[in-house]
Amino acid sequence: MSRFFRSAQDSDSDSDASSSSGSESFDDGPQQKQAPTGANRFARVAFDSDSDSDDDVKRVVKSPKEKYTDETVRLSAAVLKAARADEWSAVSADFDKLKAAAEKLKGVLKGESLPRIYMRCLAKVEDRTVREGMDREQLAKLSASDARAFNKLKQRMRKYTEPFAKQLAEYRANPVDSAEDDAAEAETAADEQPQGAASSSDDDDEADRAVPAPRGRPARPVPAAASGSESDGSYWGSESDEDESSSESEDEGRVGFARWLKKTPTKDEVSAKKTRKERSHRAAPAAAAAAASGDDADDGFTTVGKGGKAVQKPAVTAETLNKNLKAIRDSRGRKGTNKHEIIRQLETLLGVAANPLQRCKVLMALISAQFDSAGSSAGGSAGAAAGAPGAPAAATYMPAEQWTRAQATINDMLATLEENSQIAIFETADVHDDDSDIAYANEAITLNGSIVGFVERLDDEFTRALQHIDPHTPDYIERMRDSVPLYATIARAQCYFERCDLKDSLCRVVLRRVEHLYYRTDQVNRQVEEAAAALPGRATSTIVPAALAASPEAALQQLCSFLYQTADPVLRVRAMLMHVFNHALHKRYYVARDLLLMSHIQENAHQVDVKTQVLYNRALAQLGLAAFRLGLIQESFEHTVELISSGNQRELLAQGVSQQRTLQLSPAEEQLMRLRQLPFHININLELLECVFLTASMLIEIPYVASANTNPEARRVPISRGFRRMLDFNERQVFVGPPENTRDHIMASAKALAAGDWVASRDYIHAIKIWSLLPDCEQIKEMLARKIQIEALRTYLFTYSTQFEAVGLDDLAAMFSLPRPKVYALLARMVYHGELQASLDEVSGVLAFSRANFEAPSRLQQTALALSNKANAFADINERIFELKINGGQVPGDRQQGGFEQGGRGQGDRDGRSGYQRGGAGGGRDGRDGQRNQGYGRRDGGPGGRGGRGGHRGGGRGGRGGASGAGGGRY
Amino acid sequence: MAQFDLTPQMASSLDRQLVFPLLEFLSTKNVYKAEDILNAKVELLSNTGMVDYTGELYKQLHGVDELPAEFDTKREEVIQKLMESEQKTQHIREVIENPEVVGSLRQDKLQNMRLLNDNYQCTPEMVLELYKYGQLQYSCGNYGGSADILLHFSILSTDSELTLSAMWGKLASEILLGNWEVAYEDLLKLRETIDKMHFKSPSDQLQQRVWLLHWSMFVFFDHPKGRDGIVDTFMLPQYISTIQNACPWLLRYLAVAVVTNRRRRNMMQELVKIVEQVSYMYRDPVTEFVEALYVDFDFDRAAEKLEQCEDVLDNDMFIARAVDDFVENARLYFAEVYCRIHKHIDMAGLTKRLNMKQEEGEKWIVKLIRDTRMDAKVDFKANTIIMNPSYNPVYQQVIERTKALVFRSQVLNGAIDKRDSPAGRKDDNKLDQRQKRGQQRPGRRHADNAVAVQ
Repeated sequence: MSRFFRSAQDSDSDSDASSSSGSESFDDGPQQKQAPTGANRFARVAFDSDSDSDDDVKRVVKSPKEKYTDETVRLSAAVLKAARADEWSAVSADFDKLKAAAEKLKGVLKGESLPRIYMRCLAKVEDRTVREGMDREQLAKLSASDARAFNKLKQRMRKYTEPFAKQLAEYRANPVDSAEDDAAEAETAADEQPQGAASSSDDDDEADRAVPAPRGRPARPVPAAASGSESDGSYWGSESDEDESSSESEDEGRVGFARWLKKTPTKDEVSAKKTRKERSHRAAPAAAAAAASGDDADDGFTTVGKGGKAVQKPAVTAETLNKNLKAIRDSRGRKGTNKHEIIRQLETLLGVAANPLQRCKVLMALISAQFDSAGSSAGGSAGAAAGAPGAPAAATYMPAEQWTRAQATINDMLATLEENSQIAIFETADVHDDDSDIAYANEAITLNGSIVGFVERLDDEFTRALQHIDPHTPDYIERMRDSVPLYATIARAQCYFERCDLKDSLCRVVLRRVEHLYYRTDQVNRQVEEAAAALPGRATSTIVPAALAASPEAALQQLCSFLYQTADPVLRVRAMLMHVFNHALHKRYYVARDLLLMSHIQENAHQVDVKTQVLYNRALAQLGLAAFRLGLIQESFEHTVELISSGNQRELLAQGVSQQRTLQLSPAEEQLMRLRQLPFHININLELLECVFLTASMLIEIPYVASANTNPEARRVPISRGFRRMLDFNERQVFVGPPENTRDHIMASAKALAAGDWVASRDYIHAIKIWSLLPDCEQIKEMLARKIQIEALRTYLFTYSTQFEAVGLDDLAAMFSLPRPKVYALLARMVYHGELQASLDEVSGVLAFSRANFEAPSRLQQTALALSNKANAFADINERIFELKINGGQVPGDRQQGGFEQGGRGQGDRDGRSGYQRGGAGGGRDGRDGQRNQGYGRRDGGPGGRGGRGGHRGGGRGGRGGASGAGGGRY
Repeated sequence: MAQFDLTPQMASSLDRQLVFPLLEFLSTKNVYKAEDILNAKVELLSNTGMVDYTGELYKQLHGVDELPAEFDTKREEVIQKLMESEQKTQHIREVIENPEVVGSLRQDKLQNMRLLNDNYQCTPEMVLELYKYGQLQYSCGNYGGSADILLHFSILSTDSELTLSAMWGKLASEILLGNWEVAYEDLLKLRETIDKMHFKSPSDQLQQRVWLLHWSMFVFFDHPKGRDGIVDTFMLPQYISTIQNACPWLLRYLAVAVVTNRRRRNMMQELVKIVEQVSYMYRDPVTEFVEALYVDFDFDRAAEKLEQCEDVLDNDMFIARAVDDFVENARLYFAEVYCRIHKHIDMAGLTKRLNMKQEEGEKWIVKLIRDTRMDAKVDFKANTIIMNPSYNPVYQQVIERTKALVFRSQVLNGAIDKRDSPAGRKDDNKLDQRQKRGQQRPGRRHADNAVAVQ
């Protein structure tokens, strides 16, 4: 996590904490009645949506009737709007609530008729669902959740409408004209306005703008009850440009909600907005007056307007902009500050900014405010509540629209900076705080701020959104579309940093860019690059010249090598791992492997931060896949074995949590864990990974098991423990059905292979469906068939060697349909390496087994062999210990041992002591030597890494280190 | 055969003057056009001080008698510089050549410098000038002079980096002079220095090693003990990784060295491993021969590659002289593997594969059987060889495995004893350490003795 970002988050969580503490005080219920300050109340309104609990408290001035009527009206409007937009999941959710509200209302009304809008709503929904219905095509257009909701609604509609049949018929006979309806809807939307305006008491700016517009149509006077209606009801209407997440549909699933927001406002919405605006103009003077009078009597509440004092100011002009800006900046993070209000103010300020400098300053404040509001809309976010400083609110994410606006603002900022190259913004600049910048005349100036922080935050918010959206819905795809503009922004920021020569920022932003590129294939990247190039504002970059941008591979290479040269080690390692991943993705296995080994990261993979560890594991997994695609079975096995056999590959790859968890995590850890999760589209398919691993295991393990005839070790020490366990389990089963899933297929294939039936084995493997996920599926199947033939031949020979005296080469070739030279070479290899006790007879074309083959060694002989092996191992260990003692620093317990030995030989304390002394001196010298040797060792490594390059085993060992390291980091 | 010519790769890690012999060699072979080679030579030497020789080559290349004026000015320049440098270094050279001075020089470089400065008015600047003079000499092709001067410099200089380059210069001079004995020693010294020296970045060290490996080619293939030397050096772990990372083409030379060196037969397995690992980066007939024989057991291909190897070796300056040796030994390895795998061998087929005539082949095989004392018989009637595969019973296996144990334990025991005894401890200590600890020693030795007595 970058320095800046962390600090940003610190402040963030601070503000969260303060805001949540602000709102918490309300949750205490009655207290609030005693001292409700206007600002605080507003905060409550803004941050928390479920005011059910407060309702009882605040409802002092409202009759239940009014309350329920109000709610019904509001919900009806919501349903209507959603129904029109075909947002059926929203409709269904609201409808349920509406029904409940209507029931209550009915109880209170005691026979009076329900509001017309409710009827209208019922009629409309019924029309849409039951009467008109939808054909298949239309249904197909809906998202899965919407379609489901639609069908559910359709089925229940009858039940809903039955009690109101009469009223409905009445309504249908005489539908209200739409203008009135709109007004009704609009009214509900606008209700909130006077309240918001009054409590924030900062509508001067709006008043400024406002040439009080003549009323378009006679809106019905706002009933007192309605204007006093509670926050959730009234607030809802203003969601489209204010705080989205305050909608009551929050708990139903953000999925539908976020999506809903993405839509362009429907006609009604527009008109609603219009009306609201008018109303706000109307209300503003009144509110201002109220604020001026000191205490604002707002809807029967007597509130002490803290905000009234804080941000009251005259009309904003360019001259006073700085002062205003400062005031706003100071209020940031304070208790009870309305963040949305601040945004609005800042937007106003932006309008009056007279020169680029002012513009930059306002924009910076605006971007921060936009991000702040996203954090605050999390309500009492879990992160803040848990009191974990620095932990960003994980529970929520920035809604799409807010995000888009923030992105637009950042783009705006970059554009301003691009046009005004004399302004430089970086973190370490002096704080430049003049009272007025009106005299600014385009001289060079530096500002204190962090563009890279903004860009990173933007990127993080995007990732977080993707973490929360269900990847199997269209919403996810919808959201993914933003990745291109985001990428363009990042690239643009990169160009800016290049021009300003901000090394640190540049490295960070380049890394972000690489993060967006590495997991995609060149093909996709090319398209992204094209799409991004089509967006405005691309300056030329020196790191990636335009000529190179067309070739994603080269571009990535450039970006990464830039990072290798300039970035600090953490970023460098990450860039390297991503580069490795990308190479592996494109089947450049050797390049990728060499790069990984050169990075030497496997040596200290368990010491780096978790994010890097995850990257390392991912790179390893991808390497395994790449090796498999190239037919390098052994390598593939070694890269994946640690990851898979650890059992928690989900955690290691940050792709969710395994089902069977043995460890209970604390909520804070769980939170962190969830924060780490990678968005779905970046994930490596775990099933495919497992399939690759098991297939590789099969090809290695089955001949190995078969070789147990000649090699007793093979029976006891499996190469792939996981695979062996599975195989044993499979064999123990009494009835084995036909294979269904991937694992079954591989087990069946393994059994066929063990029996030497390569055709069946091949067919089972080919029947696995998941291969189609690999790009060159047909080639891989062919490759596997070839490997299976070879391994089947080997297995066959191992298994049945004792049954044969000689076996014809031609027969073998025919049996496994391999070319004769291939069989010949295979046999030669086995004979040469002593795997078979046999020799080839060139003249008669047979493989003749030697006598030793038939003499199954007796138990005694086997034991004697084992003993001799053990004795050898013993001698090895002794030698190693001695060597360690001489060269490699002090062995733990060296001193004591020395003393003990001495003491043992010469009896008496004195000798024991001298032994100690000597041990100490020797140890000291050894330690020095050891240091020197280690020094050489380190230097010897060179970039090539002799240890790492030691071949496949090195890679495997690295994998182990990495995998276990990641595990260590996790727990 | 140009595709297997390594000159371009080699040249990138060699000194200008060192490349010259390569080009000279190439001009005797008909791989490239003579004109191209001549052109390359001129290019090569144009930056050196060997103006006269370059001029001659230039004339030859362009078929003209007159040289462009730049040659003259350059010549003047070089001579001018040479004269200047000679004057400047005159004093110090005289001082160094004074046997009295040489006698009073010690191990400690700083002290030496002080001595020279105090007694003979030699400033460090003068020593530096010495380096420049040596460089100039080398550049002009006066390798004898440069070797001497650079040797003096490397003894006197306190600057480790300059010393290193002086050592390089000396090595190059010796190589070009053909003093293989001296060059061999220099090479080993240089190797030691590089391994011990502290470099700024690992890649610097890698670079030095790459050079060392390339330069060593000259020495190893000309020095009588070179074939051992190359195997020993290249097989050091740090140099294996250097080859794998930076210059896989050197594998050819390593392979040739291993194949031609029957005494280092046990290195074959190592070689096979490396060849297999690097095969995705580099392959040529030599490595492919090894691969075909030991990895794929494809004897036909191995035979084919062996034939190609002859050509490749013949066109490579370093190993051109080893062709016969290589082919002979390669055949031996070939036959060895072949006999180990087979029970019944068709003699005609084998001789054909070995690229020999029938008669000659038979003789060769019989000789082989006799020399290596293989358990084999020749059936002249069927024209086959019948091998008696050695059959290793379990008892034999156990004996073999445990045979070494006694020896190993003894060695270990001896080592421990040596370490524990005062004599061993004394040997371990370095000279200066002993001096430093001079005060403490008697007491401790006493204690040690006490223990030993008991």
